[in-house]
Amino acid sequence: MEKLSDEKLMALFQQGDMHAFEALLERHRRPVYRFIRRQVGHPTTAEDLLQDVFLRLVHRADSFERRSKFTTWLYTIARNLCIDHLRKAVHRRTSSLDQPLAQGEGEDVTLLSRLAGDDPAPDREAHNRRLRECLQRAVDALSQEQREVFVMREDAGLPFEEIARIVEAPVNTVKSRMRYALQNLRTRLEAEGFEP
Amino acid sequence: MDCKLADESLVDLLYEELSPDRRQALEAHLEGCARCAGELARLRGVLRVVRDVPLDEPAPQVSERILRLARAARDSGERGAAARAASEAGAAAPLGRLWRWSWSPALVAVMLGLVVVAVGLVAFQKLQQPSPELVQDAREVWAPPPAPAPAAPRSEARKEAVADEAPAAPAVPGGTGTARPEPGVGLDHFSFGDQDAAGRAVAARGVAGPEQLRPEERAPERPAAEPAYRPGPAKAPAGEKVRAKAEAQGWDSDGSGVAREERAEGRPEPGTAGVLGGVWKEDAVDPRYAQPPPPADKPAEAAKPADGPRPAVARPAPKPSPDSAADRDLAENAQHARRAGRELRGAESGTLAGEGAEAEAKTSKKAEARPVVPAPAPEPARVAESRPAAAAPAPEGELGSGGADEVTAQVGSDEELAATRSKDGAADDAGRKGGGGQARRDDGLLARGERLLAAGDPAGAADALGAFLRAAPGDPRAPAVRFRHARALFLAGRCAEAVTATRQALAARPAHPSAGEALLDQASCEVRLGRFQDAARTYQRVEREHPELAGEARRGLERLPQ
Repeated sequence: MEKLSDEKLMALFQQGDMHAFEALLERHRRPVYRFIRRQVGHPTTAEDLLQDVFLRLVHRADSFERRSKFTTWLYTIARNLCIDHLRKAVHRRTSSLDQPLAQGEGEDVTLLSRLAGDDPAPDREAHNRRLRECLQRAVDALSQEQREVFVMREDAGLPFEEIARIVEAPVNTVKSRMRYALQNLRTRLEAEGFEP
Repeated sequence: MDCKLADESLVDLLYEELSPDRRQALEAHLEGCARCAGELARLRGVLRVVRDVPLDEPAPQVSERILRLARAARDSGERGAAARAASEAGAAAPLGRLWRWSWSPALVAVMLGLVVVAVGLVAFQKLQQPSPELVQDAREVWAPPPAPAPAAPRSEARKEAVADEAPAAPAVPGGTGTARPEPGVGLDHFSFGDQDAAGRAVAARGVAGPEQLRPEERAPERPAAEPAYRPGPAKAPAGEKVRAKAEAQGWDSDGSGVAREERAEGRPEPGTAGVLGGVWKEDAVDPRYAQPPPPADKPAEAAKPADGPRPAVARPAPKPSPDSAADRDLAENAQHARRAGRELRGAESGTLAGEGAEAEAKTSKKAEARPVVPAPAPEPARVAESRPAAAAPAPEGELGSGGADEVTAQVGSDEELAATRSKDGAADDAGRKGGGGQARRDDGLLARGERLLAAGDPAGAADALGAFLRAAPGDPRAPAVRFRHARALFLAGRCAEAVTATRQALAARPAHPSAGEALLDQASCEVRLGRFQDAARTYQRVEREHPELAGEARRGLERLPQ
């Protein structure tokens, strides 16, 4: 199973082989989760969407054509679910980084102050945690187009041509988005005190 | 290579997607261009930082959960396909059997025999009574307008002969020859034998339509609350008896099939098939499913399809037969109940519900007395305020929080399984008695909720399971369903409701197998709602009470803002 291509595994799953599905899940759950996690920000939401992606894969397995590339199909599903989620999230009340937290916690306590923290991180783990938070904020600040290209290339390792098929844009456009994404991330990280 | 082209190729160089020729050209350019080289260095620096951050991983439970749900969905899909195939085969089977049976040698012999006898009878009649006068009499009797021709007195033998030769149509209102039923139409109401009998009766008195019936012959009005499934006489020996019986059961003596009380009220009855306004026509509504709309103030009565007044089309024909509408309804009620039981058992063993559950749920929504909870609003807190009923289930029972197949594992105790099975049996019994509508709807809601949850529609599942809990708070499965309901609310993003539902489910069954996962869900919801202190307490509770989930709880605590 481990040496079989994604497409071969998918073909086996279409014939009812659940071990093939298990192999696909094990192979892709991390990169797909990272892709979703970067898109939606929240880990629990990302896990829920990860579940939705693979369940949709199950329900639509028959629609997968063997000549297609599996990762293109999979990330198209993931991308669509993320877009749906983000559209819905626009209508939900979201906590502003600058608004005071719950009543009784003081006017000066905001989510931003909690997230950033003023104390320098004494150890590596704390440093990583802070860097991760900063990076997540920087990624969040990217435009949707730049973010998805950055995550698919950097976290999921998809080639630009495949990303272009997923987002339905020319390859050069995708590369431009990647370039701008890296430049914007650099600007944000520098502003947070991390010199790239 | 110039700076513009080099600038466009930097990303390719970063990700090693350049052809050897272009790579060589770009590297040559970078050696002589400090600006482009500096830009490349900065981009590499960004990537270093990005790659320095450890990547998140999904929790191990997520993979297990996905696998469980995938298996359940796959199984249900296969079972659904098999059920559809079986259904199609089942639909075709009676036709196939009929086709095979119709060509059996025995039947062919019988049919040939009947043809020979019929030809013999006709020939005998022609030999015995070939009088042209008789034919003339018949023309006078059946010629429009309906008034009988003032013919010379005829012998009773002649009248009977006319009746025998006349078609069965005289039982149809009007009887004028302009609105006769097509053969085979309206068989739910009259068998051919009955029509013949009625025709003979009318013809014997020389009348052409119901308007000529004597008033004293009319049977008294049928009481409105007459039992629906009163069997009729086995055989109507004479026309008068047939007419009296028909009237006694609410049919006008014209045989129109229109109940007298409906006509008196001036409203058509749903699903009525028969002669309306002197024209014989079939209603598009299948009479088996035609039921009067439930009165707003009597929903419980509406939930009992076999009780109370029935539509005219569902009344039994005078002669009981396996094809009668009443028998079909009765058999169908029992079949519905058995199907609901099968669906429920299927849901508990990981099977997703069959197609019928959705129809059941729709029916239940129509008949439900209490107001249906509206669709969820986007904002969870407002939802919680506007939907107190959905967020306040009664505390009892248990069930899981995973996929549909988890129900089997988490319904858990033998007592609960026994209770479930006994409920299935009760539903069957109630269905046979015609009073299983409520149980069917409850089972349909539960099966629908599980199916939607497994199909990735947690909002729909939450609504269906919430409706089940409101409709059957005392059901032995309710405690387990509460955990499923909370899970569905969590997955649907209705966090405030999910927190409330989880707390109440846990208060009733703190030792439920899904308690730990439910607490994790609750903590996630509290995070989403910005209640970080509550979330921290919930995660700490998971650490204390559910060591197997302590790792997940610790990760949750780490993710919380300091």
